[in-house]
Amino acid sequence: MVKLYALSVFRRAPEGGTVLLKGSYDLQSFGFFQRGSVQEFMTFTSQMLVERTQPGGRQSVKEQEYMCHVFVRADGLAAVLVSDAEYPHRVSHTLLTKAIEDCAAANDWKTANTETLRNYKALDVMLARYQNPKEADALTKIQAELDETKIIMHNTIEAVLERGEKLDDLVAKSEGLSSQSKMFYKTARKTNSCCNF
Amino acid sequence: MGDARDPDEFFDLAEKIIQNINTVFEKDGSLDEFDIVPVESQSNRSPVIHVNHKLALESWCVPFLYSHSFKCFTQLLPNRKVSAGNHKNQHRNGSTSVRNGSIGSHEGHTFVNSRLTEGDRTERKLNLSRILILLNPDLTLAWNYRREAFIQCCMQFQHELHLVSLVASRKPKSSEVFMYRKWLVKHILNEDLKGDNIEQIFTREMQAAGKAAEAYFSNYHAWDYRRWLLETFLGGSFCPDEFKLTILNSEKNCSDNWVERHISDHSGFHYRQKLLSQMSLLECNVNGVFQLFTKELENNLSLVMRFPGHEALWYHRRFLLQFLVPKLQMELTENLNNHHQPMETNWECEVWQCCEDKIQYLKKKEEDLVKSILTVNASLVDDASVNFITKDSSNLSILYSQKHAKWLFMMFEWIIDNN
Repeated sequence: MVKLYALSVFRRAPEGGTVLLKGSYDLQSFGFFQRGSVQEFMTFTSQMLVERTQPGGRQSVKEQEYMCHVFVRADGLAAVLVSDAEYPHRVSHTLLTKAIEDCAAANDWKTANTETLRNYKALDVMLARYQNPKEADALTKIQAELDETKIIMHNTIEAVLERGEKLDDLVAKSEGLSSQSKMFYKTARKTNSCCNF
Repeated sequence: MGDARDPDEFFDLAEKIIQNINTVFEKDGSLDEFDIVPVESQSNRSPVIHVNHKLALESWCVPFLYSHSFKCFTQLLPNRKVSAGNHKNQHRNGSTSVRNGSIGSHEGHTFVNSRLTEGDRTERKLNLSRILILLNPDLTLAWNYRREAFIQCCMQFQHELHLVSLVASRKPKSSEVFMYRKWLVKHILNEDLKGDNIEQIFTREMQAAGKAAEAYFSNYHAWDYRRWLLETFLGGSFCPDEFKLTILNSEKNCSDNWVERHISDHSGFHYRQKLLSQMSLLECNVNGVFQLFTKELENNLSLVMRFPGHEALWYHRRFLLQFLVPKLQMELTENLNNHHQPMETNWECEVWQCCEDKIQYLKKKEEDLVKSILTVNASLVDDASVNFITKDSSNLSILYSQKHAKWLFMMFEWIIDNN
């Protein structure tokens, strides 16, 4: 499936800490009772990836049939896109650049937070428009200078973690995840691991 | 469920949950989603969640709710051997306790069953089988009971379809779901139907199949059901001719949108192939077929270029050529056979020339495709500024285009330089 699920913008404060500025989601393909947890997990993963990306760097992480693309600008403004693995990843990175430029132009991002950006709708529009990658073809041509070799690629989320870190622990410690989401995570883990003893 | 519960409490709780679920179904006729929500510890409230026309059960109650419903359900079925021997014993015990007037509560469900009137028994069986198929759609026993009940006119067609959709919302790839759906629709088509009804049924069924296909990647059962619907409605005398045209057009539109977004879903492409074959039947001559298929080849070309490394696209291309080229070749040989003597009129010459041109045109197109894929991707593989994901898909593209060239040679003996 060629699909975009989530596009979000974060601020990385120089003194540490990452703040979600705006997230926009398209989760219609998930079940009603799972949507809340899926959204929490996408935000959680996005934030985790932003924290583990060098300023000025780009990363792409494959996790099952999903892809997460991260771009952190040198000044600390960051964007994350969660898409299906079939969505052309070059287009995804171009979209990230565009999202960051848009957000920086339209808002005073250094002081902004989710509250002040409540009415900022450009991300929603972008997420809806580029569901069809044909739309993005023109965009890719303009931004041909994207240097693909600088994108760091990972085959699982675990590969992004620092030494000694475990995803299970991060999930358990996270404050952004509700207890129901944590339960979802545990069940999914159990279901996925039934084949390898 | 690991904890050792008191059988009484077990029984009461399960009955209460069943009651709650039945109430939800009575109250809300437009439920559109069912799910099981993972919740670890049970609180004092009911595990049945009903919001916004969606129904969910908390996961802790599922194991014993299922085994309780299964037990009660199988005991109600007449003349059936129940696999576990102890059910039989319980049944005997149950009936004795009723006679004696002292009711052992751990045989409670047998007691409840034996006290029911015939109508109540049917209703209870329907309710229990509903819970069973929601929790486990692969239980043919429960589906079959519903089939029997449907024949005896216990339920409404609409309600049944609705329930099937609800089951499919959690398990979109269950084959039983679509087999039952097919059975229901077949049944209703055998009865006399008016035009409006036909259109209504068709649109609704297509939507149901579409929803399931969207929910699960390469959902064979959903697409197969959809194909069956298409062929049944197009081939059936119950369906007016103008509606058949509408069907083809709307399905074409639908499939156009689908393939743009699901480039590696072969089930979806297979449906499209069936659809194209049906559409080609409407064309009165080979020219029309040629136009229809070259347009499709163009669409496929743009997808192959835009999404490198997806095999399903190449298989679709094979189908298109394998359908079209033999048709043209046949036309060609027929023309040759009809005229042993040299062709006399210009017109005959033209027809012959036209087919020959078309074949050459197709061959040229394939040559161009393979060549351009090879050059574009070969340069990408050598490009140092390209990362390995792009390289992987480029390598796949090269592989598929080489395979394609080989296939073209085997099929039509077209020689295409692929190095």
